[in-house]
Amino acid sequence: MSFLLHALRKDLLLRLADRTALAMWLGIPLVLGGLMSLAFNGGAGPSPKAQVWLVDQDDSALSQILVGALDSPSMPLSVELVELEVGEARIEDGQGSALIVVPAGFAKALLQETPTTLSVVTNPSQTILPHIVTDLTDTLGEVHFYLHRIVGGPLKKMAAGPADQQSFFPDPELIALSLQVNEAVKGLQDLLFPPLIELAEAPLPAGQKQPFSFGTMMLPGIILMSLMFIAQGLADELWAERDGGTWARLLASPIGVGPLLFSKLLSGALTMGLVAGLGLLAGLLLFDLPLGLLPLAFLWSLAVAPALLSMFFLFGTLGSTRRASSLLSNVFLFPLIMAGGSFFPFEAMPDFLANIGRMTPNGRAVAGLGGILSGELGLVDLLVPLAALVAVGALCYSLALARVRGRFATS
Amino acid sequence: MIEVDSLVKQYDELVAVSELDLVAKPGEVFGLLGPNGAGKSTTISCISGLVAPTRGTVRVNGHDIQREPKAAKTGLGVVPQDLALYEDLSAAENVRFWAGIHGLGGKAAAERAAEVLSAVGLADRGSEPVKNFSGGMKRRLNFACGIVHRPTVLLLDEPTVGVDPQSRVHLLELVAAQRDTGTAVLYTTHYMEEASALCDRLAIVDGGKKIAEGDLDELRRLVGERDLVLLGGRFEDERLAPALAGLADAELIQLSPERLHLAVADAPRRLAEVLSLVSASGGDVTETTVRRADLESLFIKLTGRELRE
Ligand SMILES: Nc1ncnc2c1ncn2[C@@H]1O[C@H](COP(=O)(O)OP(=O)(O)O)[C@@H](O)[C@H]1O
Ligand SMILES: [Mg+2]
Repeated sequence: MSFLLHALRKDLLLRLADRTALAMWLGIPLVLGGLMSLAFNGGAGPSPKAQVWLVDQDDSALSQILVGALDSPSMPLSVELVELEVGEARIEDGQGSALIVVPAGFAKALLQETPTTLSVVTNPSQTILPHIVTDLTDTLGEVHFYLHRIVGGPLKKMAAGPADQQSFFPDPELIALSLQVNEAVKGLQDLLFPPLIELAEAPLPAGQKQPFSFGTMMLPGIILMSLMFIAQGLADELWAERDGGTWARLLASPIGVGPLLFSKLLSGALTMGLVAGLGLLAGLLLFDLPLGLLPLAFLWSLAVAPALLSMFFLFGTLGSTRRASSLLSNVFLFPLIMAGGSFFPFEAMPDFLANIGRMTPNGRAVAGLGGILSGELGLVDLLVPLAALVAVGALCYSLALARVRGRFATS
Repeated sequence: MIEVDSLVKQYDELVAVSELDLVAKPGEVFGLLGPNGAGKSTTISCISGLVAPTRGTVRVNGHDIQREPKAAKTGLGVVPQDLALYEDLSAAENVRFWAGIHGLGGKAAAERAAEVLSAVGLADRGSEPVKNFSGGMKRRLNFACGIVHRPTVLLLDEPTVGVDPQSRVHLLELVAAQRDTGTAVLYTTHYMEEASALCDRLAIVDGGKKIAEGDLDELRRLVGERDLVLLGGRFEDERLAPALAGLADAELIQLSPERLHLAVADAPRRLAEVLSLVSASGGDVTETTVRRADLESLFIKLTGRELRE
């Protein structure tokens, strides 16, 4: 066993010798977290919103729905209804990001699918916020198009007006119509709406113990994405040993490279645990989550680290050169973190993708950590997913071991 | 003790080592002398178990390297041709690591590391990271890592390539010191001077094959008492070859339109005779080299090529 300790000591000394890399790894969760919360406009503090002046010349039920939608809290817009002259004057004055005019007859045109335009006047003195407004109105145009493809029938019926010269729809017909629309829209929601909107409207988990928060949803993905990046970097150290000739010299020793790989696994998992621990602590503080969640969340991250690292030991040694291997492991890395709930929460993914994503090793780890943070999963609930992860990890590890014992060291 | 029996290593079509036999006994330095690509490193890799031979057997201290790798590798020390060091660690940490890998723990490892570092002249640089070292210092440290566990069989693969003359002399002394403690040393090199200065017995290899073997005296006798005359220029073989056949106490080794290699006894004094013979046969000499009988001339005699081509 003493050689294992020597190898571990050597690996930890090497890790400390490369302080820049270590500091960078420790910083990864913070950087990723910052980027994500910017992208998803989440977090606690108020975020910049584009001030929009809206002129409703139609004043129909539909136009009011539009106004309500634009002004909803999940939109990066702050909408104020104004008269046309006032809006134009303000934009000319350089106030606000855009003026949106809903023309008279908008609702009718929309329902009959005849061309209609929302006119958008943007403020030339601003750059980013007006873009958001035009992007959003463009999106609405597309939603409208697809809406007609899906629920065109009922819409047209509504636009054509009630039959038999009645001035209103009979109740049962109205209900049937709205049900039809409702169903169709529901079925499409996953596809049509950007994750942002879905995210903000996601229902609270059943049996919730923690209030729903952005942190609970995003933190596991961020932590696991960091661990995946680090695992990939750690796997590259096998090439450093190989190119440095030390791997070959080890093969000529009676103990061989087995303990060496195991020591790399241990020291790597410790590093990943350290990063996860600090990342989790920062995340819990930042998102106002109870610090009592930290021990279990940390233990979980530490427990899944060897499995993820083993996976990259395998990916990272598959190629015949360092460059080819690094390319190969990237080919695995990005789809895995994307499907595995790190880019978008599983709740925001189409079901089939979420189901695949939850089966990936990192996806399992994300789901486990998410369960811990939301208070749904306890130690006992985690044992089964952990066993699955350990099994995958063990398989990857033995394949990687066979690889580094064979041609890897000598070719 | 190293025993190599009919060793063959083939990479696809390429035969890197062909039917090689050799024995290196305790307390002796066995040299493997040959040009680049002769198969020296491949032989070392087969002996250390790094690559599996295509055919043939290797025994280290009586243990078959393929069938009982653990037992065979226990007494084995390897100093690879390419440095095998952790550049970010200190010299002492490097040596301690290899000591630890061979089962030396804690205090024993630290003591032995200090001992080996001072033997290679790095005692006062032990705490410095290896990346600050010069080429010669790294070579010496590379050697230290290979002997830290007191191996009984030591494989050295061109350990002096690219080092300053001082480090080189130092390294050769260190190898001799290992032999004197009873270690069986296998030493590969393409430097004829090193081979003749250090090796008790040696084999000359080329293209994966052993072309000569013996101690220095035996090999010198193979060259004969003759020296080598190497001429460059233009030669007309049809007229020259019969003329050379009449030359007393000489042997034609190679004759091509541009080259003439001759083994001639007492060459310095008979050079004029050779040159006039060549010009009488319509030849034209632009380059002349005379070489006294040594390993290099043996190599040329055996292969028609120079060792460092
Ligand atoms: N892993 C390998 N794959 C293919 N060819 C190899 C390999 N290793 C060595 N060779 C070839 O085997 C021959 C002997 O190489 P080597 O043993 O390194 O020679 P030396 O050490 O005497 O310079 C060379 O032609 C070399 O190109
Ligand atoms: Mg070589």
